[in-house]
Amino acid sequence: MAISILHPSTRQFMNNLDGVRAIVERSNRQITSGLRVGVASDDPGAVADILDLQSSLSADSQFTANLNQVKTEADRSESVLAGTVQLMDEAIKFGAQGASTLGTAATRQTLAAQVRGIMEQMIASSNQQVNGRYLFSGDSESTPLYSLDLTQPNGVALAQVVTNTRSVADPRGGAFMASRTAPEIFDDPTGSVFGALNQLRVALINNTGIDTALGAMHTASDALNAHQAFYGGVQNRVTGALDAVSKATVQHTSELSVLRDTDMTEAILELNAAQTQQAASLQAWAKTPPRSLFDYLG
Amino acid sequence: MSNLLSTLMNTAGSLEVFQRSLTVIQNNVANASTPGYARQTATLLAAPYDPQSALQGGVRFGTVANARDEFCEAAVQRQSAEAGYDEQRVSDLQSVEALFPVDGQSGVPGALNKLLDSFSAWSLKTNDPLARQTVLDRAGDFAQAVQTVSNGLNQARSDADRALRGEVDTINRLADRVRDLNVRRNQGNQQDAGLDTEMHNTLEELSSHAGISTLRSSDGAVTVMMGGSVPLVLGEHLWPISLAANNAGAQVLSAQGQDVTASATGGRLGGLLDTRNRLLPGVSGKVDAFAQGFADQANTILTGGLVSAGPPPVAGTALFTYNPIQPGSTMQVQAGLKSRDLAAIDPGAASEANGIALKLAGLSQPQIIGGVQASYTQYYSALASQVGGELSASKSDASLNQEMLTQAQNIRKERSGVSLDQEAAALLEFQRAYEATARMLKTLGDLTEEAINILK
Repeated sequence: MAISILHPSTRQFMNNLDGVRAIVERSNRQITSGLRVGVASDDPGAVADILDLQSSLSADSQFTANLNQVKTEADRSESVLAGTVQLMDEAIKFGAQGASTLGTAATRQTLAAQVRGIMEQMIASSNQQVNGRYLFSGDSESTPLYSLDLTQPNGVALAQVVTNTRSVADPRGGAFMASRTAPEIFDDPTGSVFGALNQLRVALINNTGIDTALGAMHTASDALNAHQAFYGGVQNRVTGALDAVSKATVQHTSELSVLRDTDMTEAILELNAAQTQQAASLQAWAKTPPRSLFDYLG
Repeated sequence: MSNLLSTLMNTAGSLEVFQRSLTVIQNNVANASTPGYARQTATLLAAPYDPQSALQGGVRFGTVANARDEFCEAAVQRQSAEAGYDEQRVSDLQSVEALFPVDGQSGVPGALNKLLDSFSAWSLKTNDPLARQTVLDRAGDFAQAVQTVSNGLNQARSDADRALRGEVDTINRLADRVRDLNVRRNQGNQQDAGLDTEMHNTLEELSSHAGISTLRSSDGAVTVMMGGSVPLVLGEHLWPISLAANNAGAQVLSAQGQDVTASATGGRLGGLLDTRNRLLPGVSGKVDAFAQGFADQANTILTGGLVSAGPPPVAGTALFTYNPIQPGSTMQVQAGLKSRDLAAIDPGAASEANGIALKLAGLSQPQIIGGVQASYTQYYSALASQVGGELSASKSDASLNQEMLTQAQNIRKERSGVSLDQEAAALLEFQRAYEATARMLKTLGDLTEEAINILK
């Protein structure tokens, strides 16, 4: 470090001026960037909390995206099942018409064809997709499971046995199942929708066992309602989780702002004060040239 | 007559004494702004006077007294060492701080957040090729970010080694200058103010590079010791220091080859050594622990999972690789790994199709990292906070020590420096004395001429 030629009092003035300039630069930086903490040394004690909050906000954003995707699928699933419940009601009406003593064999054939049509719609419902994913295919979401096969006892063919083990992380803690498989919903052992529909179709064709088939239809419809209620529960849970994430996001954003962002009023006041001090110091120094006795000797 | 003549000669001698005194004042005024110059004062001595013994009296020129205060000089050197130490630390730490951004979007924190988010997104779409590829890409970005920090710290170590060599060279060069000044002093005038100024300027400059203490021997030669115990200059002999640097650290060696690093704690040298031997290895070690910890945990989770339940089941593959000697700078995604090789299925007691993805997303929670319970974000932020805290403290210390250095220099200036007012007052005094003596000389001259005329 080279030796300075400046008088120590001048060096003192320069040191003080450097201090004021540092305040001006810092205030300017805070105002233009909007950040009180731009680097770790600005406030070392706040760094841990700032990074933690930023990490939390990133997680909040991802949770929101995930839950919105789950909500889309749950909403669609619930809507599909609502439609299938209506289809069941319609099929039950057809069955009731077929069971009526006023129906003819030709009428019952027509009704059987209509029940077959409902079966095909039901299969289409079980193979519903959202964003390229089959809603009711469990862990094999790229595979449609059911197709019409009237040679089978329940009138459908299952492409493969699937598992449904994928859970969704809840930002409030834990995880939950957000879907059920087509076999669970439409081929429920307690009341198979496909089985009941095919039983009704066959009963109408053969004009026998229609009442028994109608009983199976009611049982399957009740089971379908329970599955629809499951998706209603999923919707409620997702809505609750989204609400919690939204509140957490607001809180994290607010806390981060307090720690990291510039208090504009304070920064502007500090800048003004420092600039005033700087100008006054420079003017005062310029106006007081050093004099000695030599200046007064004749 | 003879008395008149001797009085005349005496008076002429007085004029010469006053003229020499005026020369001293002129030299002071000329060097009023010279850094390190100490005020010189002419001392006048009354010659013996006893008319009955024919002692004519008069004034003699004594010595030129040097106003230098060695206590003030030592204070300046101490403060200069403190200021040099902190200035060096600020410079070193600023370059290290740049490796630890805190905006949450860039560097390791940003890459880590994105990687954890990709795990979370993948947990919903375990069979989606895009979600899988995103995991691989984000893992690559994370490994690259860790490498950048680690390599940056390695570069900082290389830069510190280079700077240390420069500092050692500078210290040896300045010490050699002190030795040379000792030689010139012994060969020439020991009262030379110019030599004295140059000597003290050199010592002050040297003190900013290393914490030194000085001793002045009876012949005036300066002895310089580093840290109070390591000789740099003993009279006319130079004892140069040297540097040995390797991966383990940097050592300062005495002229005899002994490790004297513990004595090199002041000045820029001390600041550099603290950065090189304490800060950088400590931070590098923690970055390595961070990288190794995350890689090991991620790999353990993935290799415990299944890509496909089969049959036959296909086991998962590790995501990261690294060299255990330097995990941070060698961490990368396993070469040749494809997105389809990522295992999402957790076989477990109850198999979960996305269990592994959920576990990976769970790495955002506190773990045991390097023996410390913290999340990876918290572990990293502690590093950033440490660097930021040391930099902030060094800036405060540098500002304070610069103030104290200036204060010490001010005190030295007051005690040893030239006051133009004082010199102007002395000039007036000697001017009047010279004028009075000149008139006296003229009067004596007239009397002498008259006496000669009488004799004619």
